[in-house]
Amino acid sequence: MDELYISNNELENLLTRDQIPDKIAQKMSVGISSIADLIEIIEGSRKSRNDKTAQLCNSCKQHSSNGDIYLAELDGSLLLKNLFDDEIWDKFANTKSNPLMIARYISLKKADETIWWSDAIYEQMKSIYE
Amino acid sequence: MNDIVLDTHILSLIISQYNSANEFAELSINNISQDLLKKINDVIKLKGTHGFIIASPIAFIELANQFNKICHPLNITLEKFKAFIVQPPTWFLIEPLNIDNLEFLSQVDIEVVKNGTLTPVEINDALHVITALARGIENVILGSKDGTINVLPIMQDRVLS
Repeated sequence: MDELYISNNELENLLTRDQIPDKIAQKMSVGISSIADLIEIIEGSRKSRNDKTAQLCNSCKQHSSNGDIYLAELDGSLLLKNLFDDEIWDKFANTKSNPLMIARYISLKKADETIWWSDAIYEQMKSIYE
Repeated sequence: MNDIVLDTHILSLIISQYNSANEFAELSINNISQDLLKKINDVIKLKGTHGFIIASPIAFIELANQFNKICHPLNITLEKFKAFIVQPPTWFLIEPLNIDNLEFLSQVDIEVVKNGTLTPVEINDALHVITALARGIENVILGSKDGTINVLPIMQDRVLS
């Protein structure tokens, strides 16, 4: 099965409108997204005074358990592996960038073999944000 | 069990003072209240057996993001910063940022009245708050000097500066 990067907009469509990308619906691919994207979508709903935190989290859990998507989360181990990665450090240190953008890069970069998705996911993400 | 979650600013003060060669040494920090300092030193003295000092990955990201501005004046070198994450003290935890913790965002107001003015709660501050909520509100203190976090109703009486 292929892996497919799920962008912020695609994740929002998936979680709020059940719009599943074809390849995922056909079980040809699993979608991979970042915890940073879910945070941004939740925050968008909160700022529009229509807090959908519970609905979005539940939908994300449901689609994860269905095998549609995998949400790349962020812990100390991944922080250590990727925050000091030359590319990420040079790009973001001392830049006052949006911390969620940095979290997106850190959570998706294939630090080592414990990350099961390919480098292509990180590159697909970069092609959107760079 | 009493945990202390730190915001970015107070995390930087802890890293600055921490000496890995003397892991359980009492910290001396001038810029925070005596009450908070005592609670932090109590956790250290008990070697994390009765609670931890905790931060979100976002706090470390914010420090990296403003490394020269925040860390350099505190004499935190890149090596020291990295070493703290590579081998954190026994009494320190980095709480994961995961979907279960995000569910607590619904309990954090989107804005608060600060100094008589309606002020938005920035998402980075909200992430520090949910890190605390995820530990259980009855058993946690949030160490923060942020004026917005300090007036959040959900954290009433749980914030020390």
